[in-house]
Amino acid sequence: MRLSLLQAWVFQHLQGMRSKDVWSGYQEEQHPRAMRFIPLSGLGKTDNYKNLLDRLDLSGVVMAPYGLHRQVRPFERVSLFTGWLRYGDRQLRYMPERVLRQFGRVQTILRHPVQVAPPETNLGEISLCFQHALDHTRTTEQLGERAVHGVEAAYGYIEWFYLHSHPHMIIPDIPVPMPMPPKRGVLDA
Amino acid sequence: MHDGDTIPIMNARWWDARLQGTCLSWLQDTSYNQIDHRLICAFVERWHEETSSFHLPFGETTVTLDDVSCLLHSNITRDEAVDWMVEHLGSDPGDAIREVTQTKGAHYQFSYLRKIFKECMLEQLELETEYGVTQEVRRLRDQAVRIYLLYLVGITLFTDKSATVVDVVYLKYFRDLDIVAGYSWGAAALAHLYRELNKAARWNCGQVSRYLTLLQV
Repeated sequence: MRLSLLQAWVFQHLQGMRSKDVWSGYQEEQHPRAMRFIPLSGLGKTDNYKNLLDRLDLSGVVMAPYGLHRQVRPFERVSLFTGWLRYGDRQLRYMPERVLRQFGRVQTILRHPVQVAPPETNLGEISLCFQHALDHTRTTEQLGERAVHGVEAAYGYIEWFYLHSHPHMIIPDIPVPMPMPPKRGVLDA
Repeated sequence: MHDGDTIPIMNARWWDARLQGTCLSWLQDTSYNQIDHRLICAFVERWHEETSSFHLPFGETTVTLDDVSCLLHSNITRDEAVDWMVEHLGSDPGDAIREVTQTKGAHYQFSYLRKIFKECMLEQLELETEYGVTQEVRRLRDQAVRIYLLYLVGITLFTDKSATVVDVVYLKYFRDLDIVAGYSWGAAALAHLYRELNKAARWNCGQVSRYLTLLQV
């Protein structure tokens, strides 16, 4: 029996990756969310997964899935802490501002990671900073505009993202159209 | 940990009460029997160390502290105790280790934990039958809970490379069972996951599948 935090996270956010059935004994007010889902028996080859991820668009993603779960696990502001996490002698960037949609906000174009968590920070400073995490953490009010439909990004975000990253793994025979954020006018109508 | 001798003892009320109090008992139920290596591999390919996020066609996404809190019901807020924990987790255990154990080295084999767990459980049962719940019985019970917790975090939150041993440094956090619930296990587990993803992302996929036991946190 091994637990996979990553796997639980995938099931939670990407509907196509988990079995449609849920564990029948699951009770929202009692159990951790990880217990709710049942893995798919598998999609076969690794390439199938790559294809699935390449074709993902916003309709297959649940950005902020914990609405019903808030009674048991209220939102904690420390989740919005930005900067370095320390793990022994390693330091790891934690930047919730890059995934604002997971916090129900409109995703904005991002600062360079080096600005958010400067590499010259030493381990002592990191510990000190995390001790006072809430002093450095934005309040939910400071997160920006609420995403009414849960998936919106600021104008130009997706173009900016494709300029800086190459999110596709397999070059398809037929060109895959770049997923555009839904037009606000259409969604609001 | 669970065998014909220990399961009846683990059904006793004291066991449940003590384990629930640590807020780690959920770890027993949040593990999947089946790990989909291909799925994890596909995600590892899209992990970017410099942003600590997955780059997918619709933008970036990642595992947040909030995810850990809701998925595992692990504590993510800090308290006094967390400072010590942040400093010592994953580091060369050094002095901390010496405090915890003098003879067993830096790691416990799971097989060894299973053995001493069983001995501990049987001994407390024997003493209880004969003398009732004495101080010694309570001490043995707490000891059994500690061993069990060490095993539990070893197979779930902090899976080691070999997946057969657990770092004894964690035992220190179980010394006082009444404050276990206060530690920020969630933040530590997330940092551990990021670190393992960073390592895995530097390998190619074929190597990753051999490496995947590491990601089973």
